[in-house]
Amino acid sequence: MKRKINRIIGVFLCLVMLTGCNLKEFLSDLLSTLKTSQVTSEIIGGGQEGCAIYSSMEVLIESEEVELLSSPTSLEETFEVVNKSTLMATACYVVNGVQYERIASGFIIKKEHLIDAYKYYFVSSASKLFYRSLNEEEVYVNRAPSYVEIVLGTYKRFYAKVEAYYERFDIVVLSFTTTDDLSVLELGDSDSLTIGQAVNSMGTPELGVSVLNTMIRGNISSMYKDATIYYGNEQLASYTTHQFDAPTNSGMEGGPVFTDDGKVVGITTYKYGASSGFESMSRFIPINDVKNCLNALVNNQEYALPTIGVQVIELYAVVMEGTATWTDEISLYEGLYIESVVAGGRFAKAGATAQGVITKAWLNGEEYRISGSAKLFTLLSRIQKGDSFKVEVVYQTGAKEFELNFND
Amino acid sequence: MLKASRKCLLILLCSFICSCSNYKRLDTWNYNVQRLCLQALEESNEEAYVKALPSVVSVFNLVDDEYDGLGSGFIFDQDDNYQYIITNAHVLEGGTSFYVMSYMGQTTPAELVGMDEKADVGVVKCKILEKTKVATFPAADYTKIENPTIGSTAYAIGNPGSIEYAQTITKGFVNGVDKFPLKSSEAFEVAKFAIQIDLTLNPGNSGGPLVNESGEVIGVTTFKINVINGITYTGINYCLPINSVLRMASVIKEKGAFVRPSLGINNYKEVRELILYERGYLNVPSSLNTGIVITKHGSDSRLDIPTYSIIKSLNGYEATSLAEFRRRLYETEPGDEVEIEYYEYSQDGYKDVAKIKVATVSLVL
Repeated sequence: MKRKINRIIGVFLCLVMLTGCNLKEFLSDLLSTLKTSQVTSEIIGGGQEGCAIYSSMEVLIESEEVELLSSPTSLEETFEVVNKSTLMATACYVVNGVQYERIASGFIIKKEHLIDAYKYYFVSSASKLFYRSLNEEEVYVNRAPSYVEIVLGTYKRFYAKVEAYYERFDIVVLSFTTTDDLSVLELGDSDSLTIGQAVNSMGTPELGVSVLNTMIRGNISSMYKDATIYYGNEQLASYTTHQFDAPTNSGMEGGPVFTDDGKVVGITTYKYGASSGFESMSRFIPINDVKNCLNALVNNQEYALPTIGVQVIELYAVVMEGTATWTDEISLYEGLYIESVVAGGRFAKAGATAQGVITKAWLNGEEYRISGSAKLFTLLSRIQKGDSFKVEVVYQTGAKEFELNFND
Repeated sequence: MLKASRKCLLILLCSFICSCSNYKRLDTWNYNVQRLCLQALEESNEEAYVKALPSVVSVFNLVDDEYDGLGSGFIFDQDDNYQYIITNAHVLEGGTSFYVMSYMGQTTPAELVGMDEKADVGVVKCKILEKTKVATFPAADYTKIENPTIGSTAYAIGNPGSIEYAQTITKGFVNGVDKFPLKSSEAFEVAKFAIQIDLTLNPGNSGGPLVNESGEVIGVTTFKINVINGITYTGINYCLPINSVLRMASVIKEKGAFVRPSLGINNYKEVRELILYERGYLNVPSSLNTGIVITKHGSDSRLDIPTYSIIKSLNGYEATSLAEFRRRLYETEPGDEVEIEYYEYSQDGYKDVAKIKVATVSLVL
């Protein structure tokens, strides 16, 4: 039954996309199949036949680099530019005969030429788009959507398929194919942002297409704050965020945060305390933190965050507990206290030991102050194979530098 | 065709921005508003504020001489004896008598001219207030007023909460135009929310003007969304577009009520709302993304064209959204003949554009 449905959906989508012929009978057949069967979608990653709808078209001719758009000179122009590449994604699930919808926002980050069409990759929020439910072993798993429908700012609609995702950063990459020539949003440099700077965000609150691609504007309130997403007691994602004060609403997760010149500097994520009456504590993931991840996902490569093999805790928390008080004597107030070193990890291999404080790091020669775990996490997310990464650890006996090996 | 969850979304739990909590008898009003306002005007560098404020008033709603509620309003017209004030109908609702107070603090009784509860537009008139002026608009002819562009800055002036906060200005920028937070078929006659904006609106702001950077009135602050389906929303506010409001207000001023021209009772849906399944079912060409689909004909429909036909334009104005379609329809008088361009629906696909002329009827809601 599962295979049958998958095939029906696949063929149906192909027909809609390519021929536009009269599908009345076909669609009613599909709908009745979906309604009457007790569909249990398979786990994402386990098998996605249902989504593999473009196989016949996927003849890659060339991959296109980011198109440079002429810089907008006003907010109105910025809106026009970003609106064309920002979309609302609706993922539909049929679980035990009941239909569920999940709504998130997204934006196009890559464009590929096929023989007579274009394939676009867009990024969205994984936790927002995926539907989780218990499997037979009583474990929560992501379900594969029956279909994902997207609406672009021009109100054009397409079916999309899930390409890859990395839950730790709450990122999912999807793709759709069309003959329309659309633009890719240019990624900016989130490191150049400063507190107080104005940024814009675009997305669609869960009210639906009626508020499609709402653009909001606010200022950055704080930077490098940890954010963790829980599903029940399970930690789904953790990453660093910048906080801004524009009124994001549920459904805007996955949408772009961009500067006035239309360059993407972040991905909107869950606002702080959404269910507790907090207002305008919106957050976004800085784009520089996830560039490596996005790059891997759109190129169908595996992505894993580099680890250094230490268990750390913020220094102030340790001092408050009454340990490592020696740091006060040498006026060391910020950093990461190493509680333990994982045997065989990069840190251990470099010869470092616990009970020290990580205060600085150098990535490819550039120095960064490690004021907290968010900062270290941010740095790790940017490390690529072969990069030089050095940390300074302050021990009671003095400071030492360790070169960590990222060649493997 | 709407799914259950979508239907749920349409159950709007919203808050009309009309304050009823701050009880204050008008005759005990003893507050040096005049001095404060003149001072505020002199000190303000904001062109929008300086130009718009003299037309802004506070509107008091009294039931049996007891204060019942407070809203905002603005002067949109004036003759030898009276000034005419636009506010929201829900500010005036239930009131037995009304007062208006100018930005200078001058208070005078006002008389209800008429209101349209469905569109949430109300008009009151009062004797001419000192040092006030008629609001300015982007164009003298309201049919020529275009909607504001997305991303443009706009200000709301009104008295959130209570009269102590009269002439409060809040700034935001336009998030969207032609938005329709209600289901289309209802939205056509009921909803009137077209300008979406992220500025701060609070109870008491209702009926106040939304002005652009030049101080010209571009909308009427009306409505904000609070909680829908248990999700709390912030910064989603709606303002009536001034072009529609001016049309209604001028008719109300003349006739005491706005009688709607109608094509008969029909249900409509915007083409851009159709999901892919529906588009496939109806064979809507992929190039067609705007227009109005007739989803159901009523018993007295004047449109003798098949259900699911798509209206392209009305009197030459593209029906890009229901708000636009309604606006152009409401610019005609009941009984007028209107010309409609449409794509006729057939099972084999939509036919080429055709034209019909139909006479509208008066719609009694």
